[in-house]
Amino acid sequence: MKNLLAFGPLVAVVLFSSAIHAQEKRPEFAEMYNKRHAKQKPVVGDTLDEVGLFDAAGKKFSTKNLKGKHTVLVFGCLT
Amino acid sequence: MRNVSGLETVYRDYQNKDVNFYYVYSNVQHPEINNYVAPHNIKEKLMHIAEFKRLSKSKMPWLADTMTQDLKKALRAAPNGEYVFDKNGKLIRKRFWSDPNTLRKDLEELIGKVDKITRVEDLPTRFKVEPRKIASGVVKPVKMPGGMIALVVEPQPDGKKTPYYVKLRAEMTNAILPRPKGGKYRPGSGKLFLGFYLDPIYKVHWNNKMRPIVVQIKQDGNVKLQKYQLTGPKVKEAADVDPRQFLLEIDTLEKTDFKKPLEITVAYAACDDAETFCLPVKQKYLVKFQRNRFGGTRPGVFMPKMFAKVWEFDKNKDGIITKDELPEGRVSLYIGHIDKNNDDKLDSQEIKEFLQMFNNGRGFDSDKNFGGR
Repeated sequence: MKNLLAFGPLVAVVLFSSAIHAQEKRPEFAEMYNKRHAKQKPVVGDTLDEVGLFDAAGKKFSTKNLKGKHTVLVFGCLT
Repeated sequence: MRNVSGLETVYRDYQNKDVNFYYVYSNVQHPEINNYVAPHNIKEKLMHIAEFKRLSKSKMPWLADTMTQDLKKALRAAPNGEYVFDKNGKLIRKRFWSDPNTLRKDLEELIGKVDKITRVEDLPTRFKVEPRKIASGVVKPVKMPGGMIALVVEPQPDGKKTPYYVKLRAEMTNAILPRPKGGKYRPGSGKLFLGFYLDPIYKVHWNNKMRPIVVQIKQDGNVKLQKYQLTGPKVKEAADVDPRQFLLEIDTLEKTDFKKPLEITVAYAACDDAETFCLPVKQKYLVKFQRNRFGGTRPGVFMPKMFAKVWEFDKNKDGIITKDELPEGRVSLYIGHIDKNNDDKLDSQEIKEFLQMFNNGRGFDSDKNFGGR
């Protein structure tokens, strides 16, 4: 019991400082989603599979056509 | 979609610097916003893309994903995900939400800085839906219970190539659907939602002087439905564009065969706004007892709670909501949808335009006038 009383303040300080640390480190909401998403396959470093799509005119388009340049793909829709 | 103008500035600055830029249209993430619902075929996806380009004045090119969302599946892409690949097709950046400012930094690092940065105010892009002259907000939406999920809907083409002027969205109580991967199934009572939406791309309306929409439901999988024939409401206005929604009781049993879908036949008259045609249309759908992973979420499910009291975020009451005033969490993520000039501030015009996207253009001020959803 004596030991507990002796270490009590130390434990409290550790808990308090880790709470502050956790608060400082708390990621932004978007960052949290990004981190979770980053762990899902495909991860950075993986190569894009060949997938068939359509261009805006309705012609067939393959992702293999994207090679040779940097490519930015952004998913979206009318809403 | 978020950040259209911000992304357009990056596109304009880097399009001629050995970078491919594409939007990818996979699925409609928030059906009902501005009355848009999921396209039923590739032709309609392409029409949605054309509509987006017209309304946003964005020049960035689009690709249409297949109807089975093959690219979305391959990338396990987020609804507004952003992915950067190098010249060999290797993934070098991925983000759950598109972020034009971070993308610009990426490209500055990968390609180099541009001499003159395009600013949002230099662009004509400002996504704005044109108001329809036909009445809206005259048919009360159904009050949706919680715990509903989108079901897989398969249109059954009739060979006549009649457009899907009216589109079906189906939802059901998740708790009484079969559990995936062998989980224990518990039969019970729940709700089935069938919503029929006029697709704005066809510029058609309901002619309320004609017979209202009639829906027939057939099933042989041993589910019990409250009704097997549904008729749309009688509406005073001569014409309107409000969805026709039905909410039914549904009971599933131990012997229910979930592999047997519901067969839905819908009959309606499609009348175009220019008054050049008024066609009787009959179309069929299969509704599967299966969660539609790409069904998106109706904004009515989460938007009213987040934005009904949007002005309460304006802590200093100056009529402008800054990014710092928004609480951390989902609300702050939607700033990209609202902040059309990308200045990290929401002014009353931006908020007004955002809120008007909901509830058939009526917007919402509270849960109450949004049908309590």
